[in-house]
Amino acid sequence: MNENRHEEYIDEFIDNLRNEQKPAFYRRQEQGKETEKDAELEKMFETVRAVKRIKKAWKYNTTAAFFRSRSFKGAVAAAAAILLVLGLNLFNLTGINDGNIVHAVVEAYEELHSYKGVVEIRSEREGETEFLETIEIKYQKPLQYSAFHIWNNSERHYLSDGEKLAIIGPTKITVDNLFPERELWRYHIGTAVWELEEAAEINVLGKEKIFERNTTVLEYRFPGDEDFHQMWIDESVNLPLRKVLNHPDGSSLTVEFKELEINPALEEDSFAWELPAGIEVEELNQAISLEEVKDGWPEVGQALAAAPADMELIQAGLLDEPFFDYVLRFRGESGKDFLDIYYTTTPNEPHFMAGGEQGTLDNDRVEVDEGVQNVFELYSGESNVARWIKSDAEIFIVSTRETFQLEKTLEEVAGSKINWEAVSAKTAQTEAGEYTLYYMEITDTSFRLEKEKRSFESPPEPQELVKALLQGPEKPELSRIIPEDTELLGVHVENAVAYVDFSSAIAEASYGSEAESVLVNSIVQTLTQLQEINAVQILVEGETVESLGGHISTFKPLP
Amino acid sequence: MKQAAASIQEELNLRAKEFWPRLYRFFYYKVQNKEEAEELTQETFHKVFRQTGNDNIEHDKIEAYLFTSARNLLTDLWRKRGRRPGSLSVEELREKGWDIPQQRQEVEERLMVQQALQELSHDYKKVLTYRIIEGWSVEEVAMKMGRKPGAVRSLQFRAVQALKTKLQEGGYFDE
Repeated sequence: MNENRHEEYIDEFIDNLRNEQKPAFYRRQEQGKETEKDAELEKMFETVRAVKRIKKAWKYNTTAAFFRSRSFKGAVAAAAAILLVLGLNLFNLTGINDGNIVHAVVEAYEELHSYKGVVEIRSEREGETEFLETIEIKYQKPLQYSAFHIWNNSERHYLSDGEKLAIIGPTKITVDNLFPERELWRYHIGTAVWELEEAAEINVLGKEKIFERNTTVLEYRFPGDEDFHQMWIDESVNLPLRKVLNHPDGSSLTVEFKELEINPALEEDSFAWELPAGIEVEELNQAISLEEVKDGWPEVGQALAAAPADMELIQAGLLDEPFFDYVLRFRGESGKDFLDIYYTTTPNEPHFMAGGEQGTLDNDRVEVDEGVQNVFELYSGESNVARWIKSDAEIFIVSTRETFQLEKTLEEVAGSKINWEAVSAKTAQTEAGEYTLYYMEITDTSFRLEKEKRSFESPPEPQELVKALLQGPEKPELSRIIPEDTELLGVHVENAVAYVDFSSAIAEASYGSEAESVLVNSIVQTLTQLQEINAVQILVEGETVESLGGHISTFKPLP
Repeated sequence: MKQAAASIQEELNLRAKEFWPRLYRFFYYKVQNKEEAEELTQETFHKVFRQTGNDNIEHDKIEAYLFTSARNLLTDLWRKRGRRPGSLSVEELREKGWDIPQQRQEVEERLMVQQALQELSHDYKKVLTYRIIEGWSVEEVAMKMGRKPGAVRSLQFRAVQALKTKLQEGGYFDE
C-alpha cells in the first residue's frame, strides 16, 4: 500500500504495455517474488489498459511506437516460437524491416545536400487524370531551388535564393519576400521523408521496379487518419521516388520523380537571383526590420523573448494577406523545424480551426490544436497551432514543435498561465433581458459574423434563441445563414452541452469554409452566451455528423 | 472415441488460422500487450488440444468450446491477480456471434473512458495521452512537458488514480 511503490508499479506497467511486454509485476507474482495482491492496484492497471484501448485502429503488426520498442526483436522471436509449435504461418512477418527502412530513409535525407530531377504531379479521380504538372528541379539545402513548372501549355519558373521566391511567368513576376518554401513543399523529397517520420503505421507491401530502379513499396497512415497512402523507396539511395496520397473522396495525388540525381554537381549560379528584364514585378509580403515591426506591434519584444531558446529568428515580415499583419519566422536546426508567430490588430473569428483544446489566458480565449493539415494552404502537411484572441489583437503560432511549447510561448508573451478549466470565456455581455443573436453579413469580399441585440422579457430558453436565428435578422444588412427549409427538431441541455437537432436541410446546402465558419459560429456563440451552456453539439436528424459542409468538424461539442 | 478426438484435433489444426486471430484479438483487448496475448492464445489451444484427447465434444461446438476455454482461462488469471471474479460477467464471450456484442461493448467502454479522460485536468490528460496512447518514454514526456522525469512519474500516477476514481464512479469496474 506504499504510495511510492505504487508509483513505480504504475510507471513500470505503462512501460511494459508500451513495449508490448507481459507486465513484469505479474511475472514476479508468478515467480512468487511479488506478494502484494491489491484490488486497488489492479484497478489502476486496468485503468491504464482502458486508456491504451482508446488508441484507435491499433494493428498488431507494425506501428511507429512499436519500432521504438526495445522488445521488438523479442516479440518477433516469441511469435516465431508459437508458429513453430503450431506449425502454422499465422502472422505476416514482412513488417520486420519497416522500422529500419524509415530509419534508413531519414538518414539518407540527412546525407542529402542537393538533388536534381524531373517530377510529375498528377491528380486522378476514377482513373481519369484531372491535373498534370511536370517540374524540372534543382534543389540545394536548406531552401535554394530553381524549378520549371509545365502544365496545360503554361510554364512558370520558380526561383528561390533561400530567402525569397520569384514566380516568373511570361508576362508577370511575383516575388514573395517571406515564404520561399511555399511551392517546393508540394513535391519536395524532404516532405515525403517527414511524412514517413510522422506516420502512425507503416507496412511493407513488396518490391517493384519503377523507372528502371528497384524500389520497396510501403503503405503508411497518419495518426488519427484511416486512409493509407503509398510510397516507393529507391533501394539504391534509400529515398522516396514516388508517393500516392489517397483522399477519402476517392481521388488521389501522385508525386513521382521520373528522373533523380542525388548530390549532383550543380553550377555555381544555379540559384542566382537574376530576374528577366522588362516584365512587371509584383512584390508580395515584405521582409522588414524589427524596428519597423514595432510600429504596428509594440509588444513584439515579448514574442521575441518567448520564442524557444534553441531557435533562431530568420525573418520578420509585413504580410499582404487579410488575416494577419506581421509574422516572425523562427527556425530550428533541422530543415523542417520551425515556429512562426503571426500578429494582427483585427482578431479573427474563434473556431477558426476545428477541434482542439480551449482555455483562457488573461481572460482571453486560447485555442490549441495538433496535427492541423495545410494551415493557410502554406504549411504543407501537418502542423501544430495555438492562438490567443484578445479584444484588440490576436497572436497565432504555427509550428512543428509540440503544442506544449506553443502554449508556453503564449504564456510567456502574456506573462501568465493558461487556464484550462475556465473554458467558457463568455464574450457577450448579457444584461437583463438583452441577448445577442449572431447572423451573417455579406461584404464585397467575404462573409462575416455580425451581432444583433434582441430583448427578451424573461431569460430565453435555448430553443427560443435558435428559433430567433431561424427567423432571421431584423437589420436589413444582415442575412440568416441557416438554410431556409431547415427545421429545428429539438434542443436539450445536458452537462452544460446544448444538443441542437436540425433537419437534414442544414447539411445539404453547400458552404465554403468561410460561410461554414459563420454558420457554426452563429449557432455556437448565440447559445453559449447562456450561463448554463458551455458548448454546443450540432445534430442532424438526431445524429452527430462529421461536418455540415466539410470544413469544420461537428463531431464533438464546440465550446 | 479415439477417432473422434483425433479428428477434433485435426479440425483445430485446420481451423487454427481462423480461430487464432480471433482469440488473439480477444486476449489482446483484455491484456493490452502482445506478449501476454500470444501466451494466452497459445495456452488456450494447448488446453483444448489436451482436453479433446479424452473428450468427445461435437464438431460444430468446437468454436464454443474454444472460446469458453479462453474465457475460463482469463477468469482464473484475473482471480489470481486479485480482481473480483464478478467483474468478469461483462467479459462474457457469447457462444454465437460474439464479435458483435463484443464490439458494441468495446465502443461503449471506449466512449466512457474518453469522456472520463476529457473531464481530467489538462496536465493529467496530457501525461496519459503522451505516455499511454502515444507511447512516449518518461524522459521524452519530461522534455515535451518541460518537467523532470520524477515529476512526470508522480504526475502520471496521480492521473491514473484520478481517472480510476472517475471510472469507478461511472461503474466501469462494476458487475
